[in-house]
Amino acid sequence: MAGFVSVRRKLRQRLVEGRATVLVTVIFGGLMRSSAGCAELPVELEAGGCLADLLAMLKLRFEGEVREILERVSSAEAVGDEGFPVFIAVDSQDYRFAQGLDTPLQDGQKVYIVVPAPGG
Amino acid sequence: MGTYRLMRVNLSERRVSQEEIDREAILKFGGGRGLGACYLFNEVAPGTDPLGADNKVIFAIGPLAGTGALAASRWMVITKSPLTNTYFRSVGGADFGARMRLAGFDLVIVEGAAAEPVYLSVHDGRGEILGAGDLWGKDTRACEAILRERHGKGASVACIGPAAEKGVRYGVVMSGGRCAGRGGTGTVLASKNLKAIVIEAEGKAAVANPEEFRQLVQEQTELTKTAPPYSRFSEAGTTTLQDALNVTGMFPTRNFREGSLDGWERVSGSAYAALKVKNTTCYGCIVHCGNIFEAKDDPYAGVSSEGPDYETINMFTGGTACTDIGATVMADRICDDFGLDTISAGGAIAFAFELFEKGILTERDTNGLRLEYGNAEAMIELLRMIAERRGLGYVLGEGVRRAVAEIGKESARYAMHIKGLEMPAYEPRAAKWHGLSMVTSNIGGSHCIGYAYQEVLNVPVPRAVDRFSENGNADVVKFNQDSTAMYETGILCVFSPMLGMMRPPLFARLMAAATGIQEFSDPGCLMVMGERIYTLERLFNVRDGLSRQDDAYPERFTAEPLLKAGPAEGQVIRNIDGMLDEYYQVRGWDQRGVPTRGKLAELGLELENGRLCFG
Repeated sequence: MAGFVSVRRKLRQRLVEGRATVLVTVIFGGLMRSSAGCAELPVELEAGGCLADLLAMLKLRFEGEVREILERVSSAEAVGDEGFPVFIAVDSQDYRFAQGLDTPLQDGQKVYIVVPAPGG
Repeated sequence: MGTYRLMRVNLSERRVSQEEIDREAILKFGGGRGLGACYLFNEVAPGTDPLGADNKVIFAIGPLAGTGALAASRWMVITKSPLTNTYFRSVGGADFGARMRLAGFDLVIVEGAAAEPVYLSVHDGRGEILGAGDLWGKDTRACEAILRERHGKGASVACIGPAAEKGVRYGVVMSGGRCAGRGGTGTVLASKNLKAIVIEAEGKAAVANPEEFRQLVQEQTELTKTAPPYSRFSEAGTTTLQDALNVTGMFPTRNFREGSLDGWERVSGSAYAALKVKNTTCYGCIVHCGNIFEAKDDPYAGVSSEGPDYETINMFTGGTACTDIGATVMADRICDDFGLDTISAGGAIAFAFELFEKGILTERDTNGLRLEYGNAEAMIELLRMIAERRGLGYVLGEGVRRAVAEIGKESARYAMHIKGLEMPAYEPRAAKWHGLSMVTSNIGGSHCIGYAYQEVLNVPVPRAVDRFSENGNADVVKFNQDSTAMYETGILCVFSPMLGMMRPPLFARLMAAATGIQEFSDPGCLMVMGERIYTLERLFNVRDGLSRQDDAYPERFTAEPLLKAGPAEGQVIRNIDGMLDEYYQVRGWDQRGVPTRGKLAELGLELENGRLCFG
């Protein structure tokens, strides 16, 4: 809930300042959530930004395991690496089936970053 | 390795005999699931009543059991299921498989039916049928304890519980806290009056090429320990999957209406970690993914159980929208003690909760229980009613498909099963190819028959899959089903390849070094074996009259948009006919879902008078 309040506040501020930015909500899941220490995170990007830009911003914000995971995802050849799966979707679209790390981000979109552990 | 041997136990005649297994059958089917399917096909005729004396129960292990290979001492029960009326296979862990190998048997075939309760004692390379009048009615924990006391602490026991004895159609076979859990394999044993099998055997199994085998196990150990998920999976087992699937929309909730559970954080991986007493492991596995949990809060404080694992967590949270973590430990304990499949029991309870919400069931039907979402006490009491076959529990113990006939036709649309098997904890609208594997599965709604880790875990092997697409990925479904069948010739734990701890070439070399059969060193040959096994299982069902119309979802998945599902919000399966067409084509089956003569010939599945012929 705190995340949504923060998004609304930032949107208001942005309207006042007339800046060309977009706000997306990053939703963490699985091991990523426990490592990041939060469920959701609003992130403001320059308009025209893409998934790679978002990951770059997140890497600046987090250290340790989260940054390690993001580093791996950002390296194109390791996308969805076997044995180290990371699920990323922009709204309902798996980024691997959109434009990969170049997938553009629009205002109000949700970006899911999930590291699942196996079930049974 | 010397010859493959089987023990045949005829309960009607109280006779135990031994046979060598045909070498051609070994070359075609490898071991484990393959040989089990082969014998079941040849020995159980079409139309056989699963609970009649003519049905057979086959306990199977693979050539790697008891050898020191990691995660490969699993055992399997193969039979015709009383829940689905189809071919069935279910896998168990702990050390029973290793003991079977050390006793010298690849298969134990149980046939006929005893006139009164008995158990099978295997020792000194032979089997003996003994009276079990004092064991009948005992829960699985007590039964195991009594038989270990009687036969020695090192004995391994596989047994059934009171639920199977009372005829619940999804009774399991328990052993050392693990079970062959699905399809009512325990219920078939109960119909034969066989309470347990006890094996006394020590030592280490011999392999054909010991030095090569030792090096391969070292390689496997290295691969396992360096696999990225190793440390986390060793710590938590499957109990963190809900943390991911609630976000990706794959967590079935309220009887598969929704894809995530409000308040799931109360039953998250870290919530279970706080209840953990210790890890447990199967024979010859360094991963120790099992957990013993103990509930901390009333009314379940002090109750402990080996589990719940992910499936059970979902069944006793998502299905009833309960987030009482102690209740999940209690439910797991009840299922284990009474010998009940947690998935089918949980599915039946979720069905009843939805019927209560819709007014199809009322308090008059439930013995006064208010089956309202979030009511954990009602969930636990209904579970006990199923285990003890009381009231509504009697009806639900028949499985949801049969319960519809008792409750009324209007309940049919809420019965979430495939071929009579209650569905596991994966939402097919949010993982559509995983769904296709379940809907085409030879054993009904099972997640393990071809686990689509490409969608659930996002692992891109053999390639990445768009989980919302509805065409172009049937080959991946086939790959998952066939490779699972291949590894289950071993019988390798399903997690091992899924987590990058096993690769086909290494598995093939292990199989060859263990058996001395050079043909097994070719992974391509083993993949064909996997396809052969899968096709033979299909043929078993086709022979019993199953076809395309049985590869069917409950209406909900094709008609109702998925709710509360994050990125999977609003998903529906729109093109099931197209997906089935594509799947049958990839498999080389006709559009009725029947393997063609050409495909059977290609796989070497020649039949003579309806039986596989060898030699």
